[in-house]
Amino acid sequence: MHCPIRARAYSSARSPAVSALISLRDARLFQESLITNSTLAALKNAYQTGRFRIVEDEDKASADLNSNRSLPMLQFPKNKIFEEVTNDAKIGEWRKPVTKWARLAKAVLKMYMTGLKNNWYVLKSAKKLSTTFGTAPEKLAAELYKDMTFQEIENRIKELRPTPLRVNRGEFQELYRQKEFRKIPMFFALYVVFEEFLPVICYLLPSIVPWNCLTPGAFKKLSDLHAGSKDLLPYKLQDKSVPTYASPYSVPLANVIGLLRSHKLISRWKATVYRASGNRTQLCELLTQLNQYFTLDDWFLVSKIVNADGIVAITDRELVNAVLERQLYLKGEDLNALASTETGKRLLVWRLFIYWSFRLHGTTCVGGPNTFSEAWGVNNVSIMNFPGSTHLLDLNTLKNVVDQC
Amino acid sequence: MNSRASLCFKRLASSTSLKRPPFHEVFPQKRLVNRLLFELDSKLTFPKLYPVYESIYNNLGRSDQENVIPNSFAASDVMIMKKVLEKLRHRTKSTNKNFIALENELMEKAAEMGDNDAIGLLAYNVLKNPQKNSPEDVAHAKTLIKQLYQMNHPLTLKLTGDFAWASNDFKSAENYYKRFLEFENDTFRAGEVYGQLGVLYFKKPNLKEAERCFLASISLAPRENVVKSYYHLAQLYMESNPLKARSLMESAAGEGFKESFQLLGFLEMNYFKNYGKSQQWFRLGMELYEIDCYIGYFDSCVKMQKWHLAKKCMETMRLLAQKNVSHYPAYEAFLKSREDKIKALVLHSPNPRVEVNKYAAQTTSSPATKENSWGL
Repeated sequence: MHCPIRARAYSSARSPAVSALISLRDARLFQESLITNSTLAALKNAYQTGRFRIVEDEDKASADLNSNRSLPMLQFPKNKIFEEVTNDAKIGEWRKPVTKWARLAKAVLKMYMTGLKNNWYVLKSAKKLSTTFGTAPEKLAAELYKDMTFQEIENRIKELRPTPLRVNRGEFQELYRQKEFRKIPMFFALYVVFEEFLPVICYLLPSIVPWNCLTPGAFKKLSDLHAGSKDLLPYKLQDKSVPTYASPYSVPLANVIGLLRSHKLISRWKATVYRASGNRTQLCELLTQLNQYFTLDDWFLVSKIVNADGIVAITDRELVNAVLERQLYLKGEDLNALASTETGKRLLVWRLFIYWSFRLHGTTCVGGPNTFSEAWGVNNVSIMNFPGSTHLLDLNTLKNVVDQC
Repeated sequence: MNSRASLCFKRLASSTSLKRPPFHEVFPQKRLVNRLLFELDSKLTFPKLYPVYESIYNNLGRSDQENVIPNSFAASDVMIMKKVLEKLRHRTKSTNKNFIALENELMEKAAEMGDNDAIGLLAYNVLKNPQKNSPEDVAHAKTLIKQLYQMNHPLTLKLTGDFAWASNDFKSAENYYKRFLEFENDTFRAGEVYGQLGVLYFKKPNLKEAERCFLASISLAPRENVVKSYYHLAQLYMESNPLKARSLMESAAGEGFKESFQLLGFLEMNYFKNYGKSQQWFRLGMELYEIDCYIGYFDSCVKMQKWHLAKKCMETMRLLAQKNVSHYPAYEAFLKSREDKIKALVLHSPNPRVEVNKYAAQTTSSPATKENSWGL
């Protein structure tokens, strides 16, 4: 018989096992990181051998990892449509300018219609899941996190590899993204008022648009806004190269509110009420949930990439979304444009790899001896969205990484 | 000679009975007993039970006691009387040897009246200590248990499970407990069995199943009976939901479960950042000489900058480690891991007037003089 639960990292007698930063300064140092960090090596190996790949077409992606219908488009179809019309011999030259714009308008309207329909389907499937398991979608995420921690403890003792949870990553993401449905009534109201000017309104106020109806321009605006909240992250408050343990309750209230607002977890009026009342508990619990969401999503992806026998493929939309949520980009960077080129795609993938390798090295998810909480401490928010290296990987340092591949 | 001997015996008997305090002085208040009777779903009331209790109590130890139980009482009523005393013991967390004797007497009377629960309990008491009982008694107890087991008597199944558990036969214990739950799954006793099953699954580990059992346990049984279920469930939730874990652990601490004090203290200090509250939990643990609680208390004092308390705590810890060798490794580890804090502590004397020289040496590089003290 074993004692399944070890002394926690919150016990001040023991400090959590902290993994080392990934060095990007030059190729040699990166090579050393590859040797010392087996997770990084495993991820690199999967990417190099093609066991992990990024695809455009959802049909070619792993069915249980992606939910493209709940994500926005990467490229605005304007150039494609204009080119099609230009090359279409059946359309008379005099008609082409009008046809181009008409077809573009039609495509945009179709995109909104499809987006709204998909929102409905996502909501329906999330409802179905929560009915099957008898809990509300928000609570189901907490239940899944609990299942994951139970599995980690059991796997550590029985020395087993991770096994699937009761829902897959695609379903988990849809559970998280179903809240976008709440925007639809407002969206319809705006449509009734502004009619064909709705795209202009959406461009000016992108936050009112359901997530999967965003155009790349609006997405860029939101991503720039989201990058601004990086300074509020707990690791930025610490004056250390490797962040030390910080519980959600140790983060200043203003930062907690800022982070929650940035991740759209509380509305403006709620934030005002909480700030005025000084009620920390509710807000800190929301921050905990956000942190658990990231951990769970990382677990879904990395355990699949490292442990799966076949090919693991995620779509470029999922890649962009993963990078955006984890704030692994610089302000002003166009993630959609990056994901549309091979080099950009590689850059985003490697940013994720470095982030994962730092976080998950030595945990049961990648065959290590510790559970995630044992490695970092219970709900350690200091590593939330921490890039895993002193500086974020960019196109200049990418060559140090690519040289090793 | 004979009359003198009988007189002596009578005197002896009377003097022993005098040692027992009068029943009305020790028996709890009517309100508490009525509450317990209500919880036990008894049809009997305090006025009806009190004289019976009193007469059995007064006749304890006498071999010639007459039948004090009214004819209207069934065996199950006598067992309820026993359970009232048992609950009282759990609730007040104190034992009165006279009440223990009274409990045993009631159990024996219930067994004589044919109550299977009482028979099973008595038989298992014999089997627990076979060396203290005659071989005939042991053989008879085994026969009785066999008969009860064949009747699928729930308490016997539970007791068999407990017996297997005590002899580290966890597999059989699990089977017996599961069989018990087939016959009785919505009583206080089922709550206790769920708690035991939960611990079994917790150790396996099958944590999902353990969680289910602990939840069933705390929903069925009162807190004082299943305090371990609260504690283990808190342990399970510690990583995923510390807020819930804290509340469960507080329930366990409320029942005086000493292992919960240090965990609650550390949780409050390092996770919820509530140093004042953590100190209170550590203080409770320190009263029970838990060395981890001393360490936690020291840490929280340093965090709250209560240097004099931290110093006092360290001194007490040193004395504790001197007196109890088992605490020494923890004390040594403490000294090593808190080296910087202990150094910082030296700077903060509780009495600056006494250690003025130390202060002067550490706070200024050169001694204060008339010329340079104001920098004019």
